[in-house]
Formats: sequence, structure tokens, C-alpha cells
Amino acid sequence: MPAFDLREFLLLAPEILLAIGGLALLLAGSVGRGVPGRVAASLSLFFLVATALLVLTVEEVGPEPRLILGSSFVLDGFARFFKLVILAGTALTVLISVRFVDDGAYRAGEYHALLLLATTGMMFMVGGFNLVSIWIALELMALSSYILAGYFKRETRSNEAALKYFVLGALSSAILLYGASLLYGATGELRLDLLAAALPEAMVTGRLLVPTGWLMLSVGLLFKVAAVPFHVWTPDVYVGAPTPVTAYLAAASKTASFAILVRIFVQGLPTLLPDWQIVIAAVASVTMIWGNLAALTQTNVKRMLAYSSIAHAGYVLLGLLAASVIGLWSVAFYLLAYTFITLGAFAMVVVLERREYAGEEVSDYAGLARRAPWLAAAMLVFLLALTGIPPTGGFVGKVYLFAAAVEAGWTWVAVIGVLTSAISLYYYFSIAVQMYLKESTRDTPEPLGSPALTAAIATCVVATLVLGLFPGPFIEFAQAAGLPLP
Amino acid sequence: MIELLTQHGEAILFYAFALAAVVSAVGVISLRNPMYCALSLLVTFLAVAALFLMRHAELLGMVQLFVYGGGIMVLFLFVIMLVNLHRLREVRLFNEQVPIALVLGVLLVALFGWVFLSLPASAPGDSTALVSLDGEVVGNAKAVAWVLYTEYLLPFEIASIFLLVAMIGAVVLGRRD
Repeated sequence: MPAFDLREFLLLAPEILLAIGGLALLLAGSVGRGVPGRVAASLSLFFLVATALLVLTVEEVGPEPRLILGSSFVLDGFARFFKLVILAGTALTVLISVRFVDDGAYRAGEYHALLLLATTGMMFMVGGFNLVSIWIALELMALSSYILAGYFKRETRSNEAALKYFVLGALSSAILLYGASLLYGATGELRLDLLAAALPEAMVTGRLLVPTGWLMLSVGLLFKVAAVPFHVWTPDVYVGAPTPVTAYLAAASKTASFAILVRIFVQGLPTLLPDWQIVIAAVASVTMIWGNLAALTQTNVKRMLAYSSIAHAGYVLLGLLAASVIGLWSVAFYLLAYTFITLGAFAMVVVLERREYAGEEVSDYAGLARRAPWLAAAMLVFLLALTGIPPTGGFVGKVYLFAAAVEAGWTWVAVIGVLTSAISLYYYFSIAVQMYLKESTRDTPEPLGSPALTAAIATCVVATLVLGLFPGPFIEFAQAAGLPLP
Repeated sequence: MIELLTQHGEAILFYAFALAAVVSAVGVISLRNPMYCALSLLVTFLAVAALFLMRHAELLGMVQLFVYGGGIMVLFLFVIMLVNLHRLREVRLFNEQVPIALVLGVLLVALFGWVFLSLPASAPGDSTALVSLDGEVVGNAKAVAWVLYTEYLLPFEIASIFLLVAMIGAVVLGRRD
């Protein structure tokens, strides 16, 4: 009889509270004409902050990972770090959603409820310790995201985004699940540590089952992080989805997917390390090259940021490729910095955006420095950070990722990373050129802020700069998120 | 003849049900009349349920029969009766990517065939695990229930939130406002 203790449910108080929050918002949204956007946003912020506090207090994290609830979940520094990053990303998403949801006259209660439930799924994902619990949590996140992508249902582009995301997402989930089932067939284990222990023998007895299984598993996971060649859904979904949702997909969803990718590869498949390193090296290279090259020709800022987010997936893969202590914590650090940078950049898109998707072109940024100097300065910080120029968190993160790859002997992949970063300077700074060197015309949209948006942008700017100027404590924080290496 | 049947009965039944499952699955995607597609899908469900029963996964077989063969099938039939079938017949079901899809499909089948042929003749895994708990034979339903409500209790609960989200999504996206 496996050890099982119901009291361990108390250790999952943060996740349970967040799920209750989502259900409460759903109930509130169903009364009368629904809750106003501001009230719904305040409620979800309250639940997110309370959940973060619970993560910090209730979940005791010792030096050893603690397996709970029949070992389907684990409490460790890794899970705790990513839970906090995801909660921060969601809170910022809530802030930039306030005006947007009110503006479009779409119901706010259900929107925020879905956001919280998706986040619940992410928290279970990063804490999952067997393939079944990780998969079902991943599906909870994915299904909520499909609905959120189509939330502006009167806009054709939003419908298209939701449908494409749903069909391709379901396909990738099926491939992932099939891969997991083949690995289970070969080893008879779903728990990551037992799977790792059973693999050496299974590679002999299971013959081709193991390689087929882990390759399919990788395809599914790489789809979720939008790595080339599994990225085709990304531009259309990012452009069509409501912008706050796009920001959420690019930041929180990507972070959670990277967390499970790293956990499954490092803790579940350490035996196959030399094999998956080759795959990751190839995928990382083409992702960095194609993401940056495709971004060069974009004139729509959302689409450009979509390709930029693909390129950044390639940079993060460098840390996993290194499969070293420094590699893993630089992945964690980069995802922390990237969450703030991306959300900030998308918050700027929200500021200029109008209904019918106007205000998304690069030319709409013309003369922004004169009309709104602070907003232009904020955007400049995000552009510097996305390119990886000091004094921003993006620079520190990239340096450590590249250093980790070089240290582990993958210099050529790191060189591709440096070269493509140089290319990215061109398209990021086409926006800066518009803001500072071009004059606005009569058609240029006026920036339209709100207190919540300003708060979100200010937080992101401060976080981006602090991570760049004083990275010390955050690096220590990320180092506590390390996983035991093979 | 009788000897052949008794000796290889299980294998013969397996191949019969497997063939039925594959043929009817092809029917689901290739028949033009949606009602025939649905009925073809029903045959797939039933054949797969039979395969589960043969592998001593009795609970799974019954769930397949009741939930898929019963509940889900009824939903499909409802939808088919609600949509306009005459228009569907004129719609082109496949687009111009048929050749490349065909090539990739054949490659995929070949790949899985290769994986399958590489496997040792005796299937890995212990079929008594399906019916026993701590070495004691308790039956398939009890053994599954034990694992489901202990080790997988939380994933099981997450699945219920998942279904709730699916319901919210259907209402939010489908509602006219």
C-alpha cells in the first residue's frame, strides 16, 4: 500500500486557494449582469497575492525535495521559484487586462476566472512529479488558454486564434501523451525518478519504444514553448488573441512549459542526456535563427513580439542544453527577467491599441517620445532588455545563458545566439527609431493609459532595471531553484 | 479446425477485433454521410472495448462501452441531427494538401510498424498488476480504484476542474450576447 496522507493536502493550500478564487470569480460573474472589470481584477489580484504569500509560508521547502500525495507532486525549490514567477506574471496580466476587458464590453468575471484557473494549472504543472499529473495540469492550462485566446468572440482574428490554437494544441498534447504512454509501456513507471531509474534496462528490453517515446514527448513539450519547427501556431495566435492574453501566453504559459520541459528532461530522462542534448542543440539553433530572421520583416508589433518570443525560447534552451548547475539557474533567472520584460512590452502595445486592432503597427509609435516621454522611455528599456543590452535584466540573463553553453562545450550554439542577438537589434530598434526620430502624424493613435496599466509598466521597468543592476539576490533566488543533476 | 480455434482462440479474436477497429476508424474519416461516420465510430468504440476486456482491463472496457459507446455517441448523434446535413455534403472535406498528408501518413505508419516489429515477442509488463493489490487478487475495478483514489487523487480532482473549464468555455464562446 503506497504511503498516502490526506493531511498533505494542506501543503497544497496555495493551489487550492487559487482554484477557489477562480470559482468565486465565476460565481460573482454569474450574478445579474456580472461584475465590473475593476472589481473582478481587484478580486483576482487579491487571490494572487494571497496565493503567493501561502507559497512562501505553507510550502516548507527543505534541502531535499519532498514528494507528497502518493508522490504525484513534489515540493522543492524549483517548483517554488516557478510558482512565484508565474504568479507575478499573472498579476501583471490582470493589471493590463482591466481597461481592455471593460473597453471591449466582454464579461470580466469569466475572463478573470479563466485566468486564475489557467494559473492553477500552471502551478500544478511545475509541482507535478509524474507524467500523469504534469499532463493533466498542462491540459488545464492549455484549455483555459484556448478559451482566453478566443475571448473577443466578435473579432474574426480572435476566433481564428482560438481555433488554430485549439486544433494544434490538441494535436501536440496528443503527441505528448502518446510519447508518455510509450515510455510507460517500456518502463512501467510514470514517476520521474523511477522512470529515470528504469530507463537503462528499458532501453535494452523496450528497443525502439524508448527513443520513439522520448522524441514524441519532446515534440509535445517543444510545441508548448513555441520552438522552431513547432512554432507555426505562434504568430497567428499571438496576433489574434486579446493583447493581455498574448502577454500571458508569452510570459506565464511559456515559463510553466519551460519548467516542465526542464524537469522532465533533467529528472526523468537523465540517462538519455547525450541524445536529447543533440536534439536541443539543433532546435535551439534553428529557433534562434528563424525567430530573429522572421521578426525582421514584421511591421505589426504584436507579430514582431511573437517572433521575438520564439527567438527567446531558443536562448532559454541554451541553458537546458548546457545541463549544468549554472545552465539550470540561468534558465530560471532568464525566465524571471523575461516575464517582466515581455509583459512590459505587451503592456505598451495595450496602451496604444484601439478596437479593431488599430495601433499595432510599428509606425503607430512615431513621435511617442514627444507626446509621452515616460512611456517612450519605458518602451526603450524593454527594447534594450529584449535585445540583451545592459543595464537590464535581459543582458544579465543572456550572458549567463551563453556562458553556460560555452562552459559545457556548446560554443557554436552560443555563437549563433550572440550573432542572432545582434540581428535582433535591428528590428527592436526600428520601434525606437519611430519613437525618437520620427514625427507623429494626425492618424497616430494617442497613448491611452490607466492607473492599472501605469502600475504594470512601472513595475516591469523597475524589475527589468533592478534585475540588470543588482542581479545578486535574484541569482541566489534562482540558484535555490536548481534541480539535482545526473 | 476446432483444435486451431482452441489453441489460437485469443489471437484470432484479437486480430478480428483489431481489424474491426482499424477498418471502422478509416470509415469514420472517409465516409460521406455523417450518420454512417458516427455509426462507424461506434463500431471502433465497441471493438476497442472488446480489446480492453481481452487484456483483463475489465473496468476500462466497461467505461469504454458506457461512456464512449453510450454517452459520447448520443452527443455525436444529437449534433449530427442538429446541423444541416445537406449542406455538409457539398462542402469539400479535404483540401489540396492530400498528397503531402498521404506521404507523411504512410511514413508515420511505417515508423510505428518498425517500432512494433523491433519489440520482443513477449509483451513487457505484468498483467496480474491489473487485478491485484499488494499481491492479493481483488479484481480490476478495485485495483484501479485504489490507485485512482490514492496516488492519483489530486490529478483526478484537477480533471474535474478541467471539465468545469471546458463547460465555462462552451458557454462563454457559444452564448449570444
